[in-house]
Amino acid sequence: MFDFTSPSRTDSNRIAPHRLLSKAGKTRLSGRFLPGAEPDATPLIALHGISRNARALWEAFAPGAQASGRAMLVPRFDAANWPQFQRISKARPDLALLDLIQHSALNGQRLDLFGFSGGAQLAHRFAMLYPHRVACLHLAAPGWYCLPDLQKAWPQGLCHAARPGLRTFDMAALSRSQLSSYLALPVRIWVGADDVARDASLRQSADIDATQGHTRLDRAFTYAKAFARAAQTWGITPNIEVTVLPGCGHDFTQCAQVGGLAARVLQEPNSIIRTYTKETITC
Amino acid sequence: MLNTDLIAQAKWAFSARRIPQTAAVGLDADVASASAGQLIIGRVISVGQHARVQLVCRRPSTLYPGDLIVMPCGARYAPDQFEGHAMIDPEGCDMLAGGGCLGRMVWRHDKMKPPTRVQPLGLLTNAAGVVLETSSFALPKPEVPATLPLIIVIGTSMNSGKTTATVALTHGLTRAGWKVAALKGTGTGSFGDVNEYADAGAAFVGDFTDAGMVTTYLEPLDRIKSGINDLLAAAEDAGADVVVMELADGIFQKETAELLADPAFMARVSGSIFACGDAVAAAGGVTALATLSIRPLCLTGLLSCSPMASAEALAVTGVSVVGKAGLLDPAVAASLLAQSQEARRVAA
Repeated sequence: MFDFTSPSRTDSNRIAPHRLLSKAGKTRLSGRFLPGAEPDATPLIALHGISRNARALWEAFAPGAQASGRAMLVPRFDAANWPQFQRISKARPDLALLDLIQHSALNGQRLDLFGFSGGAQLAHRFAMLYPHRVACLHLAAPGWYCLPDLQKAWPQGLCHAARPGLRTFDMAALSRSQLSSYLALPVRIWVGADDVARDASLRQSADIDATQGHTRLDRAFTYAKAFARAAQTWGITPNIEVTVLPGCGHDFTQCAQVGGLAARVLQEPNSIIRTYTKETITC
Repeated sequence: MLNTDLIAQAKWAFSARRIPQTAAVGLDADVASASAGQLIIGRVISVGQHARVQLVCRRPSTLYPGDLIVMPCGARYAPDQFEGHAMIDPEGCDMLAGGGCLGRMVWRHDKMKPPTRVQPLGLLTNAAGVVLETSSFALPKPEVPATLPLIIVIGTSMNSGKTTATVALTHGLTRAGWKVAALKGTGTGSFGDVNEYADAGAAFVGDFTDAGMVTTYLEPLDRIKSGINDLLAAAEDAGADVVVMELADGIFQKETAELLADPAFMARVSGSIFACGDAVAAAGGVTALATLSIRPLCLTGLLSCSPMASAEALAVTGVSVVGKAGLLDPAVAASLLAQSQEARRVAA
């Protein structure tokens, strides 16, 4: 891995990123990186959705991150190398992400992990494998979730769908072993009030619809309730909040500009609860 | 006084690396009185099994008859090589290990050549005439015991895959974001293992030689446990989050067996990984460990190279098999650590 550019230009509107590239495995992962100025500030990783618009995330988060001295990493999973970057299975976006984190000298720190849509799918699956790496998990409008449910078959839940082979990467079993740590994480779910379309990008099946709901809005609440219920089963006080962004559909730029998503995420979790009590629904 | 030219010429062994060469200023001719850990200067008489000595600078040096060497007196237990005791015959002694260990060979494996023979010239002393010994240069004793998680790697024997497993788990946990201390708790001082630990990315590396022992063979259990506590504390002071510690030889080896049967030591252990060569060894090992109320987190080692042997072992023991590739995987490594902590929480 190497840093192939240094910041070359900055102006009042744009913050030029360091460009990072991970090629530790068979596939490459690039990323935009903002070094942190405040050693105690929690770094942020922001994962794009299936539109792969990492630049939009960078432009939304970078000014606030820079103002608060936080390091920030925005990876970009390109379509050629990562056709299904949301999933951790035979393809391993988690490994590429870990390598990029290491390259950005953020190893050893807990990180705030944000994902939008498909990026939120990856974010919560990553956090289920590596809860010790996450300070606060921000899930914005994922199409569907892996529920912390030991009875529900993988990949909707954490029960084996079938007996895995000896050398198969068993995501369900690995996630089960980390479940209590995962359920202890603070989780913030963000979803647009108008994110109710059942379009082609929304994973749809009779089983998912029945278990998780028909829309991203429904599914956010279903997940939060399932998370809270599972945490309580483990004797853990759940720390999960759902925030509905008024006037927002399934569009990151709209969520950032109209719903103030990036600014809200960059605040500390406690501040979010305090500031947005009216729009925050506790499960 | 000792001729300092002799010291400058001598090949100073890795196992004595914590003793500064400038401390050696005198010579005590009473080599017959040497005990484990005391530093001996000698001249190579004939080159046998160990044709090279591991130097302090962590490179091997080829030995020739007539070479001057500095090594501690020590015992050795290595079923694939030698058994030897910490005894020095003034007429000639045996080089029992490449990392530096002089003593008297008792047994050797059929495939081993006779040991390299050394003419002891004397015990090295400090300015006060006190014989230099490894224990005087050990890590400090901690005021407060370390509390970081500890995973031990044990196995059926030498060459069952313990070091490979230790290195792979260290790398996997490091890649997952943990600061890992890789330690060797028992065995014979050698740079091979600790170099591999360092190469795997360990944030802290150490072995019983850092705790003042040349080898742990025939050392009292309390001293070995105390040495392990010193290493754990040093690892914690260095900022490690978790420790992976290899215990040498097989689970029936005297010191390793004593440690595994010691409730105080095992109460400190979060989890164990068992390296073995085949399904029968896995079944025997898991059964033997069960008598000590130890259930490994996983099986590994040469067994894991064979899918069929792995399937047999899993069927018989119910313990999953994780190969080198699995231990290197940060998700698998992090899961093993989580399982160990959960098991410890439940036990508590």
